[in-house]
Amino acid sequence: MAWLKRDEIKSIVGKSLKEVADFNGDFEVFDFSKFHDYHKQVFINTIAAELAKKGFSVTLSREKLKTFNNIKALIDYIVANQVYDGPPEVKILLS
Amino acid sequence: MLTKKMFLLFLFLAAPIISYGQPVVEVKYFTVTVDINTTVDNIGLRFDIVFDSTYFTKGYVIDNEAFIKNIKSDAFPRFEFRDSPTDNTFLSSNSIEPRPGKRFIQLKISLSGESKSLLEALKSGARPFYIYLDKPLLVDLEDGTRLSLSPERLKEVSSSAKLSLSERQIDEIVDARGGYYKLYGTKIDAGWQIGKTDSSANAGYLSFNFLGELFPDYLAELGGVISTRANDIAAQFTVSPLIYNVLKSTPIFLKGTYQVKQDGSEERVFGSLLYQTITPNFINLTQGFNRLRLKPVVKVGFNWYYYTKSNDSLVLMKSFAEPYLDIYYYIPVLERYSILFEGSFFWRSDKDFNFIRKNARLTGDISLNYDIPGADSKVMAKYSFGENSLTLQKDNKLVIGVLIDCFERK
Repeated sequence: MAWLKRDEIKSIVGKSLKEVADFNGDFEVFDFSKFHDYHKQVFINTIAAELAKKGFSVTLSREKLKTFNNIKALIDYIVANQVYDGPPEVKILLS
Repeated sequence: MLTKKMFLLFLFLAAPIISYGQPVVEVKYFTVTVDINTTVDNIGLRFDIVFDSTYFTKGYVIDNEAFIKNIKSDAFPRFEFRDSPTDNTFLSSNSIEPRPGKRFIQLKISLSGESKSLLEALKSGARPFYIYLDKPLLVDLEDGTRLSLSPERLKEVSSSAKLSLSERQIDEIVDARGGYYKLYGTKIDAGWQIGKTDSSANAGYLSFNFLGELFPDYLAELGGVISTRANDIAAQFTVSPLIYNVLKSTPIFLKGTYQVKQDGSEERVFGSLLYQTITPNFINLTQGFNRLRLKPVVKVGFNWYYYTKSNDSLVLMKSFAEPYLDIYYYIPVLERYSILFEGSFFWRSDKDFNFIRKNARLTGDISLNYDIPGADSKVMAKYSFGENSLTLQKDNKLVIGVLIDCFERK
């Protein structure tokens, strides 16, 4: 399975960011200094869920977010530290 | 001249060399790190065996599918965590999930009964341990190169890595796992307290707490403190037959409790309900500038108390309710300004659920911030309103000042 590329990860992070914030341009320059703890938790939970859909994961926590100067640094971290968990589970819905 | 027969003979002789010519590189240089993961449903510890960059100079990284395939084979080695002096296993391979990164191998460990001792070891740093392998770990790269990690080298590096977690990391992972409830919910402790009661007399005590999971996300708790002094203010029994979602996997928390003092002087029933959410933005003051407009965080809660027995006639057989609302809202303004609002509304009822207007409380801060380019400084005005939570004195004040943060230079 090909490792996730930066564009794919940026798309996941952008989608996750929209759960906690609105913006109308590039979001890589934003930082986490004004995030409430609950913003951080929802944000990292969404990133984890979106990565899991593709069979990947990355080590994240609210403490970890403090180590990133901005969202660009977070994206670069995920690119380098993504972990492959195996093919994602396929859920069959019976209608 | 090479004939067809000579060429076929060459292939026949060279085939074993070609097929088994996969280069194997003994891994000597790597580091071992530990971190926490607190995303919902995946809370646990993460140990990374990070290979030196020199093993990846050709640009090829770990073949993730080959690694996952190998995990399922009988030839895949077994990982354990062992005490350094005794070599006793305190975390078995059943609790460890190896997974591939691009240039590292991750050991995923969910937080559960068996892994509590590992968490304690990382917290205190007083229990030396190492990562055990029962045979070499073989890791294939995308170009066919095979890395080989020996058990001896892994033991040497992991035992000297001084792995530990910070207090904040410990707090976050325990909190994510439902607080000390789920990890340490069942415990018994006894001892002799010196001068900790109201009368400053010494007292023996036995404290206990039993926690059980009735259904998924539903816990029941029995606990208390028994003291040799019957009227010790800390001596009490508590039964909580309903604790919902203390694991915080969703934003709702519910708890119902019955509590009685050891000497029977006070008895009450109380419940807590809490709901936290993020609401849509309802204001945009950026005028088109690209700013991160965080959505409001709202916490709504309700506490209820009923005293069935009390020496205080004002509370006896009375119900008290306490709805409350907390809001956190960061509002960017134009290109460089922002408003931060943090407010709490709290309304304690009078006896018999009577809500009297004068008992409603609203406290909070509104601050206006401005980033000065190039200087990392903020001109700030701040208005605090409401009442001091201890003295209930009104304490409205306006502060205007300049903050220069010397540690945020980038």
